[in-house]
Amino acid sequence: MKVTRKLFIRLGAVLVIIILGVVMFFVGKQHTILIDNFSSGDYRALDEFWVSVDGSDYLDMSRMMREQFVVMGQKHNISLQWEDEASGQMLAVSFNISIPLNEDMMLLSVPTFMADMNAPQSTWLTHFESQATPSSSSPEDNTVVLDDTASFSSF
Amino acid sequence: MTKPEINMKNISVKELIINNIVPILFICICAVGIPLSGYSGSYLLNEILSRLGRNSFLVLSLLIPVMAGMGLNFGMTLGAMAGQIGLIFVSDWSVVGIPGMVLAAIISTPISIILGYMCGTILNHAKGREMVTSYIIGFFMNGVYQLFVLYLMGSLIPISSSELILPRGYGIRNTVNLESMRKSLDNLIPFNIFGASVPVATLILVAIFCLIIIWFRRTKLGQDMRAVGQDMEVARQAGIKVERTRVLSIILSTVFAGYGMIIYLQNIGTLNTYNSHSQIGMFSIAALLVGGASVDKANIRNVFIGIILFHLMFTIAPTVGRNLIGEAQLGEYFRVFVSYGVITLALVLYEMRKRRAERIALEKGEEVAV
Repeated sequence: MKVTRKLFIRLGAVLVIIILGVVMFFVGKQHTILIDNFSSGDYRALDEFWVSVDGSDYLDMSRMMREQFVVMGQKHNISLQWEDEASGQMLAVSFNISIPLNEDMMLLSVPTFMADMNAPQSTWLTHFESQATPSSSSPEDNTVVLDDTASFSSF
Repeated sequence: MTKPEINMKNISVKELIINNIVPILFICICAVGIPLSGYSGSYLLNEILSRLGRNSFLVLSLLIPVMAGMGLNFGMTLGAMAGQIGLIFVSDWSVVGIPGMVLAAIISTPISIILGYMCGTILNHAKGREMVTSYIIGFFMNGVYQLFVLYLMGSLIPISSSELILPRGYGIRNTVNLESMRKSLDNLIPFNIFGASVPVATLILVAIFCLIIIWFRRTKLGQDMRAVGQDMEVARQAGIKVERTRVLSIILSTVFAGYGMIIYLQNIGTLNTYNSHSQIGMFSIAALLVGGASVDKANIRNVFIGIILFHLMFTIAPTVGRNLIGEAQLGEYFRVFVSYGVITLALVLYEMRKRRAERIALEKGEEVAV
């Protein structure tokens, strides 16, 4: 009886730790959001707007600009401010996005979003593959330093 | 008038100096070195606070095996390897900041437990030679770690990040960038004092660990460990499972060393995959000995005094070397040879004291017999 109770407590503790690990994975997962102001199909790029991600300082964005925000977790708040051409008034919109867990980099097309704010997220927030070309590898790149004293200088 | 009885331990000045020769030596080195280095007080304070946060957890992890009479656990590198494996996985999964650290700690725990159990079991077969055995186990496990990280990761164990994998397609690169995790714990609660940044959150964590150690000493397991540390045979006759207690002490030390390594590397911000762990045991043990600890006696006070003095020497040595001889590299060599020298000196002093105590006990025994 005592052994069973002990076993259950231990299994419970292990389970709690596993759950904690899963939660940390979801909460701490890093994503990159690219805020994009390029013309896309029928949607014309905005002349100028200001963007903030998760309450960061507003960033000024002109036509043909793309800015990168590195964020942690899946749910994020995007705030946009722009000047209405007709009235000259400053307008603002704030909305939430949810990044799929397996996506490292997402592109948020602001012109597409502005064209139809009620459109589903998948129309203006899309997967983005980094265009960075892998550097050519030389035999030296494959070598590793196994010298025990190499870490002395870091102490 | 009779003299009042002085109820004080009769220790001669010579004995006091011999007992504390290592800390005294370091105080002298620092006292001479600080003016020669030309560093400002705020710079040194900043460095010491940073190093205190960075190294305390690692050094504290050495206290438990000392309590159990297993000497200085050179096998703590096993825990450091486990911590590094946790960090490699977390980097591959792009989990950053504090959640990344917690996840790395969770991953490192079962690895540390397995390695600690293995190490403890081997040490039980090498009673009286624990330190040298754990030192060699560290080297042996370094080879296993290299096999794991250099050949199995990327081939058998899935690692997807091209930033981590060597261009040949398997094996981890020399360095893993932990920039996304760098100082995430140290800077969690920002606080400055005299222009020096204080890693408040890290120090709170260290303080909690200190309280856990104090509490642990009073628990049944802690008492058992102390009993085993004092005399194994007496402890065995008292019904304590000596071997199990010793294995547990090494497991705990290894697990905490793994956490310590994660804290250490979040401060550094870069993981030298094949080197970061290799000297961590050596420097942590040296720091503890500098604080006045010995092979059979170490406490929390020794940890902090040791880190402050040892890392003060570490900070000033290269600049002193450059200012005196025009060669910073000399200071680098100096601090490395001092680290080894301190351990040697402490071990020699320990043996001398032990033999002296044995001789005195023998002489007393002979007197009683006469």
